[in-house]
Amino acid sequence: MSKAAGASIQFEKVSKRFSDGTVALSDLSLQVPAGTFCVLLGPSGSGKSTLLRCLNGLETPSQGSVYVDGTLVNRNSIKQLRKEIGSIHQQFGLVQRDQVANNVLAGALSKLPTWQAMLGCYPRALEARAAEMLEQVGLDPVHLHRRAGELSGGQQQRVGIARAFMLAPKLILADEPIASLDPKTSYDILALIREQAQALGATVLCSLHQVDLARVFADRIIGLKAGRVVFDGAPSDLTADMVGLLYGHDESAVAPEYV
Amino acid sequence: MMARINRANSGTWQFPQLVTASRLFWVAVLCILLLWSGRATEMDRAFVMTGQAIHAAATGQKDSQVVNGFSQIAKSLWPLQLESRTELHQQADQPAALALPFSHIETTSRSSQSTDPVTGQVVTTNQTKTELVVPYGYVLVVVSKLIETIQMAIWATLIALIISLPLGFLAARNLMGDGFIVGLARSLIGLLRAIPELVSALFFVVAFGFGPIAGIFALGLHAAGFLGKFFADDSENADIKPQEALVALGANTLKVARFAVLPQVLPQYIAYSLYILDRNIRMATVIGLVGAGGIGQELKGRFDMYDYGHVATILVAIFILVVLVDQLSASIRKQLL
Ligand SMILES: Nc1ncnc2c1ncn2[C@@H]1O[C@H](COP(=O)(O)OP(=O)(O)OP(=O)(O)O)[C@@H](O)[C@H]1O
Ligand SMILES: [Mg+2]
Repeated sequence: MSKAAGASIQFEKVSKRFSDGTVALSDLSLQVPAGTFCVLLGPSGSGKSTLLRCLNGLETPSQGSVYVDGTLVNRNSIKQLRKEIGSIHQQFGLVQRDQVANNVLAGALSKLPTWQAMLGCYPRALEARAAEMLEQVGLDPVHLHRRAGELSGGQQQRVGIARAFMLAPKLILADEPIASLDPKTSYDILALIREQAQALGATVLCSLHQVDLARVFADRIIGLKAGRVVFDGAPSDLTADMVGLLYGHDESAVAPEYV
Repeated sequence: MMARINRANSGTWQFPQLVTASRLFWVAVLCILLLWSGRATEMDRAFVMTGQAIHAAATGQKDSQVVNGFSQIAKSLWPLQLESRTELHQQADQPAALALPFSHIETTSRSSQSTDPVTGQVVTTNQTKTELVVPYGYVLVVVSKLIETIQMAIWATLIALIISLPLGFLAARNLMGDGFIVGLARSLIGLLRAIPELVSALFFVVAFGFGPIAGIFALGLHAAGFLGKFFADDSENADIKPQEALVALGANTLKVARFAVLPQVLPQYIAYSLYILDRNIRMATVIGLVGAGGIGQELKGRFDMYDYGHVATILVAIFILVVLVDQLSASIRKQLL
């Protein structure tokens, strides 16, 4: 199921101000070319999640425009765009009580007529695709009928990845996909996302708190601070000073493991 | 930060007090209100009469109105009416009527004296009455009425589910936003819940006539309001993360409801529905008091005809049914959760 190319991303002077007055993004512009594995770094509250949510329409910018694959993201285009975007979530976003099979198949809901979805009968082709995806993320057939909540965190995120890749998306949005996972599993999960995305030529935008892993996996790193881009470049350009600037008010505040 | 905490200051810290002036004031206000409402609801008389009754019962005296009233009821309730008697008019009826085991035919002859209006003579007439007696016949009647009652409850629950599922969906803010539709659905739910079953049953009896239809509609609509509210509230309390995940993957509202909300809330929904069935069975036994079918209608009829033996049988039967339903639903609930 290899599609030709991924989707490019463009933010044009985007600001997001919540109703309580919090400014999450301020006058932010950036461009990510198709097929890039781009990592978002930045301290808590710097606006990483908000930026990602502006791309899949979970938030609407207060000002400015967001483009995916050259298409302006708005109420009219979002329905079509979401079919091309796979989202991976920090706490997996799985229905804990439901079986793994249903959780993965849910990734194809946008393609299914509503009445068919209501009856819960998926076409065989989709079931085959779900099985293929589960196998590729390293799960066994025995997991199919287990409840998602009964899996380990790493396994749950694998289910989340399988779901996100169900429709062979052009763009993958991953919001802290490895929070709460151990170092080895974190590495494996990021490797899995990169491998799957590469097979499709898909663009990946992934927020992380692990600078070392960002250096390993990213083609490009964007540093956010207080809703603004403070760093944008290749991993090799991300100096220790830069990391210090990103995470602290002053150099001394930076915890050693980030440098 | 730690260094800044001043230990000397802790002597002035205020701890919450149970008894405060304002609380005492409100307790006093509450007492005055209760005293006032006690006058209005004759609680003073209830207190005095109950005291007399306890005194009378303890000392064995019989001058308490309450004790007299209760003992009169108790006497007339006993013995329970179990048998049924049907008068037979034709000899031909007999073989067919005797199909039930232990049933027999009793012939009673009674002589009555009356004065002939024309001749002025006293004449004695001999009347024989042939009756089919089934020793447990009335129990059968009550059981069939109970079965009707349970059926009413099942249909009422079905109607409630059919109405409340879409209504609860429309009233759930997590799915429908916070607009006009949610407001409308919530008001409708409020309305359904606000009308007591016995009141709406009165109206349905006028519209549909005596019998189970009125009871089923009255119970069903009220329960629909109940379930609708529970369904909507549960949906709103469901974990938002999977819902957002499916929205981000392009699922529409119905699909989100079906795949992200329903699996989360289904066990609760089933528990509520069972509770409503349980409640409907209990309510169905009384809804007949206004003529809306079921055992209650039989109860009201017997009560009005002073057939207290029959009333007693019905009460015992209702008691047994409610206990059985309680235990059954408790065990089902235990298996589900
Ligand atoms: N729905 C909301 N309403 C009000 N403020 C919000 C809302 N969502 C986010 N914010 C605020 O916007 C700012 C950016 O939040 P965001 O979640 O994007 O940060 P983040 O970089 O993802 O942080 P973290 O690394 O902790 O996930 C924060 O100050 C946050 O409190
Ligand atoms: Mg975040």
